[in-house]
Amino acid sequence: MASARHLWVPIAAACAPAPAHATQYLTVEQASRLLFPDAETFVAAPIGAQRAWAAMRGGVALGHVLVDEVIGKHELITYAVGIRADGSIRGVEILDYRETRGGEVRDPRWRAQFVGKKNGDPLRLEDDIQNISGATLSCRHVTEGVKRLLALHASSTGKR
Amino acid sequence: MIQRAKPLLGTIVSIRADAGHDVIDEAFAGVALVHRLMSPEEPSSDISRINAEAHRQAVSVHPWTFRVLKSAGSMSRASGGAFDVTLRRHGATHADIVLDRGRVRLGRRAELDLGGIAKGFAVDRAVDVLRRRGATQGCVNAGGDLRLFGTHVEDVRVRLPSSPAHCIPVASASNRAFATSAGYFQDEAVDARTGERSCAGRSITVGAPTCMIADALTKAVAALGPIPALLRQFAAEAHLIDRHGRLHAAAG
Repeated sequence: MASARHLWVPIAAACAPAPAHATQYLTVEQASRLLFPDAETFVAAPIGAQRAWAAMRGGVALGHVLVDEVIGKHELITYAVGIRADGSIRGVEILDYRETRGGEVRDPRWRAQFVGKKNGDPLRLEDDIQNISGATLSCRHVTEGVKRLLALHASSTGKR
Repeated sequence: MIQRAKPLLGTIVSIRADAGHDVIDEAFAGVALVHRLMSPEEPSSDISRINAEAHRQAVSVHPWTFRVLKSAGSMSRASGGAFDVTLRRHGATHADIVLDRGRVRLGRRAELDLGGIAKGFAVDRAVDVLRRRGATQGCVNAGGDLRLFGTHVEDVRVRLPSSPAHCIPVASASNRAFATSAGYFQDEAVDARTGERSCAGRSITVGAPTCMIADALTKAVAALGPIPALLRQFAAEAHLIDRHGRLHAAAG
C-alpha cells in the first residue's frame, strides 16, 4: 500500500496553544466517602508525615484513607488509597491531576510549594481544560506510591 | 456532572458523566475488566495465556477479547498490515491468528500486544455502561484516547508534539471518539511492517464513531498517511500536527 502523505490539507489554527490541564476530581472528603461508604466519621490519623484518616463506624476503624502526591516528568498527581483493616486495598481515587509546563518540576522551590498543601487550597494553575487527546504519562508513579502506602500502613498498624 | 479518575490500563482513566457514583463505579469496573483480560503484565490475562499456549493448543477467551482480536484482524487487513497486534515479532503476522467460536489459536509462536486497540475498546465499554444506566452526556478519557457521548458539542484538544504541555483545538464534536499517536512521552506509534517509529516530531489524531476504531486507525494512518478509502471505510477523519505546531486534516 503506497504512502499517502500528500493528502494532508493545511488548516488555519483556531487559536493559540493553551497550557494543558489541571483537573480537580474529588476532595479528600468526597474520596473518603466513596472509599468507605459505610463509615460514619473520618478521624485524622496521620502516619508520621503521611496524611491519613481512619474510617470509623460504631467506634471501630473499618480502615484508613491515605492521601499522597506523586511527581512525574510533567505532572503532579494527588491520589487517595482506601486500605481496609485487614490491609487489603479498598480502592484508589485520583483527587487532582496537574500538568506542568516542563522544567519547573525539577526546580526544588517550585516543588516546595506543594509540600503540605491542604486539600481545598486553590491551585494556582490554569482552569480545567477538558477533552485532551494524546497520551499522558503512565500511572507508574501512582502504582509505586500505592505500594509504598501499603507498606507504610502495614508497618504502622501494629503500633496503633 | 461528576468527574472521577483512576489509575488503570497503565494510565489515568477519567470519566465525566451526568450519573451517580455507583454508575461511574460500574463503568470503571468495565475498564478494569479489560485491563485484567488484555494486559500482558497480568499472568492470567487472556493475552498472556494466548502468548504462552495458543501456538500449541486453542485457548478459550472472554467474549471481549475475542471481539477485540476480530476487530484487530479487520483493521490489519484494511491497512495492509500497518496495524498488526503481532507487531511482526518472531516472524508472525495477523494472518497467523485463527479465531474460531470464542477460541484463539496461533499458527506459529507470537507475542500479541493489544496496546494499540485495547484502551479504545475499554473506553467504548465504559461509555456503554454509562448510557445503559441513563447518563446522557459525558466523556471517557483513557490517557488521551477519548470518547464524547451526548448531544452537546465539545472541543477536543491535542497536545503539541514539540511541547506536550500545550494543546490546540482540533475538532468540535458530539458522539465521537478521538485517539492520538505521537512521538512525545513514551507512547510511540510503530509501523508494524518495519518496526520504525512513525510519529517522530508529529502527532496523528483520528476521529471515528468508536474509540477502538480511532485507537487502531491512528497507527495505520501514522504509517500509511490518510488514505481516503481507509478513512471512508471506518467513517473516520484524521488530523496531523507537524513539528512546527501546524494543523493539517484529511477526510475520506
